[in-house]
Amino acid sequence: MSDSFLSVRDVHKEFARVHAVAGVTLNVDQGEIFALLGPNGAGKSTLLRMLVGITRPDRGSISWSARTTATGQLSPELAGYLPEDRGLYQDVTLESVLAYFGTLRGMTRADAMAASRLWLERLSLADRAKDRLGTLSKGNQQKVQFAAAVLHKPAFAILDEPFSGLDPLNQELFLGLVRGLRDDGTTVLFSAHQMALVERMADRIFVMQGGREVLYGTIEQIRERWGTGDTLVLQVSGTPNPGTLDQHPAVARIEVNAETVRITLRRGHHVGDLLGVCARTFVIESVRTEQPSLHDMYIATVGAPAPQEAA
Amino acid sequence: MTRWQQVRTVASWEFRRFVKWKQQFVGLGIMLATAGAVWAFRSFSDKAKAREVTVAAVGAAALGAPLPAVPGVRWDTTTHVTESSARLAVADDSIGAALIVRSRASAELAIRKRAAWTDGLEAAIGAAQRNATFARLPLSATDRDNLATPFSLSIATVSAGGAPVSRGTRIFASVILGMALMILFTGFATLFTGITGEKQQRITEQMISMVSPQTWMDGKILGLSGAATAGTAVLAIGGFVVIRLLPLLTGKPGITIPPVASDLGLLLLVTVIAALGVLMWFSFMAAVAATIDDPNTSTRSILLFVPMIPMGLAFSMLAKADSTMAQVMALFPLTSMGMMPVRLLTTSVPWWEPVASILLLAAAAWFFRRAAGKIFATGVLMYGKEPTLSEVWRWARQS
Repeated sequence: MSDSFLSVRDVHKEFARVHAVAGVTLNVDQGEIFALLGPNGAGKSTLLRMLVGITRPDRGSISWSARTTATGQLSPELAGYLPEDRGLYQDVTLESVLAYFGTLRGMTRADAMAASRLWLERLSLADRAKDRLGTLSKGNQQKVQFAAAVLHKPAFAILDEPFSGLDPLNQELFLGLVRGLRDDGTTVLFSAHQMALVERMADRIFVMQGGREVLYGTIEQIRERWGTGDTLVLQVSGTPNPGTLDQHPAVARIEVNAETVRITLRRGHHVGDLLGVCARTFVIESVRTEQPSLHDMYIATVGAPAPQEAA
Repeated sequence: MTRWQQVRTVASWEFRRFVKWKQQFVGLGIMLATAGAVWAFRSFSDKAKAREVTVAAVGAAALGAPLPAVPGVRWDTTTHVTESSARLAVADDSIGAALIVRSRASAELAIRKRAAWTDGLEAAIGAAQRNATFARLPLSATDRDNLATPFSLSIATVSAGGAPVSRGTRIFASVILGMALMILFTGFATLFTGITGEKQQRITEQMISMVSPQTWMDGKILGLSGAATAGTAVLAIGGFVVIRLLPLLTGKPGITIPPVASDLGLLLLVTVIAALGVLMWFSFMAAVAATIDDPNTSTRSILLFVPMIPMGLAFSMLAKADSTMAQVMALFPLTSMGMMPVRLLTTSVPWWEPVASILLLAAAAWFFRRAAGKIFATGVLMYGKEPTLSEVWRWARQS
């Protein structure tokens, strides 16, 4: 674990009688994009707030392999944070609020102004630099909030639901921005509910439920540990009749819908094991395979009863 | 970035957010324009007053004294010798008024509308009659003068040091108190907006991921108290300019600036105490604002008026700055900001009193600042609910 930027060890946080985070242990490695997933109330934001230092863990430890403050937080110059509960000064101009946040993160005024111009350019808001934030649309304000969190080129960025409330075009824009951060050397930890985006951008994933870990690893590792293998999707002629195919040792599940047959394989079995049998059973028009999606694995995992309820 | 650099950055941001120099100078311009308009109106009115009116005196011989000289009045005893003729002349505005003397003891002034010169007419005729009576009595010139000169009593308050306290000094002390009060009230409004507004705009989480709550609070207290002081200073400068300009414009004697106003050492001492007081009250109000979720609905907004009590007390003690009560108030941190400057300006104070006052004020300011930081750190993330007083007390004790 020598390249871990962040190590979280058995961290707990309780509010009144709610165990919001119940013994989370994880590492975030230098230079990776790490996704923190879970249903609403799983404890994600509480964990992120502890990482930023807004609240403190009741038990456990959070350690950084970089400069920290006297209270053990990652030094503000190195950290970037986009809170879930976000807002900005509505009565000041875009460039001045960005410059202010950059200065508080340790930049000189001149550097902060230059960085804010760069980010406004990148976000296609350069012509609005002298406008007050309150005059921007919600989506544009969210872009400025994102820029405010990262314009100082943090070594570690914590983004709490950066995609929430964005239209698909802006989701794509943010996806590119997050990847750009990583390419510039920033380690990114983010939470999200958009599984398709997470699957495209995250190097590793940590799924929480009830304040605890339920899935952790790369997508491939999670798929490896997942109970099923790939899904074989057949487009067939006529009315498909699978017959005794469901008794084949490689088959976990069969779904028949009009002229489409979806056969989910058991873990450890491959498409090749079944193709011959399928060719004998159906008149096949086309064949494709699908890996289990993060969305499917997530729904199947967190749809199960929670280990413990959390706020 | 050091903590102090962060405090300075926050303070400067808050200062610039709330001090709009353009607006300040527009306000100053309006103030000066208003003063100019008042001056123009007054001079027009004075000119109108200075115009002489002709007053017909009918039966003036019955007064038993010559008609007195009254500013703005020219007596006419020959044109209208009958009451009806004089009344007609008043009615058609050919003369300003008619004094119709009935007897030595009564007369009627017929006039279309009252004017400034009518106020002194009764007293002037009474004085003329008295002087005429005295002249007829077998009295010496000295006795006549004594009888004619009213007794004059001037009141001069003497401080503990034996020096009299002039009215100008008291006015100066009141001005200082008024300015301090203005700083507190204009500042509190922005302080409430600054702290609760950020909470409502959901800026707090982002902010305290960059700076500690105490740093943020310190920066706000410094920046917003600076903004309020700057606003008040601009008005004070405007007021000073008006005071100095008016005598030049009107040709009348201006307000005499008391000697204490040019005692730089004393002014510095007063400034230090006032500045510490402002910081203490801003820290106190910051702690209150940190417990408020929505200033529009919170009953705690009423605490804005708490500083009215000590400042009001200081005003009421202006004439009793030597009393034991004033001495205690000048040392007690919650009242010393108002009372100690009054004592320093209007009476002689032993050296240890301002020193003790400064130390106690500084300690109180430090305590409230720490309490504000603690309360803010804990209460800032409580949305939709205000902490209870017992919670606030518990957090404050941790400071």
